[in-house]
Amino acid sequence: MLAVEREEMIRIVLNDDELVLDQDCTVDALLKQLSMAEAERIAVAVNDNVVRRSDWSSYRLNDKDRVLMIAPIQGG
Amino acid sequence: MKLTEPLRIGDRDYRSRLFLGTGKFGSYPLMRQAVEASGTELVTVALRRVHLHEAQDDVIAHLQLPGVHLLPNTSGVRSAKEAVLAAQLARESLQTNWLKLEIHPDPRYLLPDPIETMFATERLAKEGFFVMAYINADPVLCKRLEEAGAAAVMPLGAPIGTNQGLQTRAMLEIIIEQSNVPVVVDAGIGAPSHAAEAMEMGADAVLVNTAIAVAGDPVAMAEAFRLATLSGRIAFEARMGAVSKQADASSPLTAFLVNE
Repeated sequence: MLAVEREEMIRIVLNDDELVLDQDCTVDALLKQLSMAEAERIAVAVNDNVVRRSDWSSYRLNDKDRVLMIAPIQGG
Repeated sequence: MKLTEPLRIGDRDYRSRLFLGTGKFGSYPLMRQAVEASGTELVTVALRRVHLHEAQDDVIAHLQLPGVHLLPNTSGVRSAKEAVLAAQLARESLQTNWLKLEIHPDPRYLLPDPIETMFATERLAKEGFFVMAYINADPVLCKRLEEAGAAAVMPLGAPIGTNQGLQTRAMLEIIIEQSNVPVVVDAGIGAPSHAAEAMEMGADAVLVNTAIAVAGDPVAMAEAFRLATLSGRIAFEARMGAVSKQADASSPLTAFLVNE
């Protein structure tokens, strides 16, 4: 059973945190899981490629993906 | 009365020649009031990795003011490659092609890396960004960036946040003389008089952050910078008189009381 479970899960790194997600998890689903789907000015890159907001619901994450999620802050 | 010529950068005209950084303000309301008092039409913001489990407070909501545009920066990147990704993320996040390109890997002086900046400018200009490149006051580099498609060059007056004024004045004069793209003096401007000095020299605009944000009264200081920047620009357009060593009387020197 354990082996099966592992196969159904993927490990990604989001910013500095390692996360275990369901296989076939989309960017959209990840953001919902983090309660960030409504955040207007989040931008996301996977493995150094920007994933546009319009593609969030179709873009499926893979095992070992590096996900970068940024937002604007104060700065000069 | 139209006081000064508008400044054209990229596809936009600016009436205010004072650009503002939004860092270091003690609170969002203070930042917003300072932005309003400055009369600026262009404010910078930075990007940061989202910290999970931390409340997200949206700085942009506090900067949505009529006529105020956003200029995302690439602060925190160390190479051209990282800068390009940061720029693409900024465009996605803020829906703008405008970018303050800054690549300063050295944390002590935060001096910009000219080579990485050059590479990133070439690439980003091709991708349709209006690149405003933060660089040392190097006239040769400014010309190269211009050729690479920079929308404006942003030579520093002194290292970021130092309030030292125009330490690079002699080089800034050459940059201003030679440039075919707007010259925005950025970094080191610590007092309204420094902003006025840059504008009198013919700089197209100044970018100020620390001097306003850390002032005892940031809103009043923003107003002081607004006036100084405007004053310096009006003086430049009015064409200042030449400097000379010898006196040149401002009043008639013909004898008045005694005629001998």
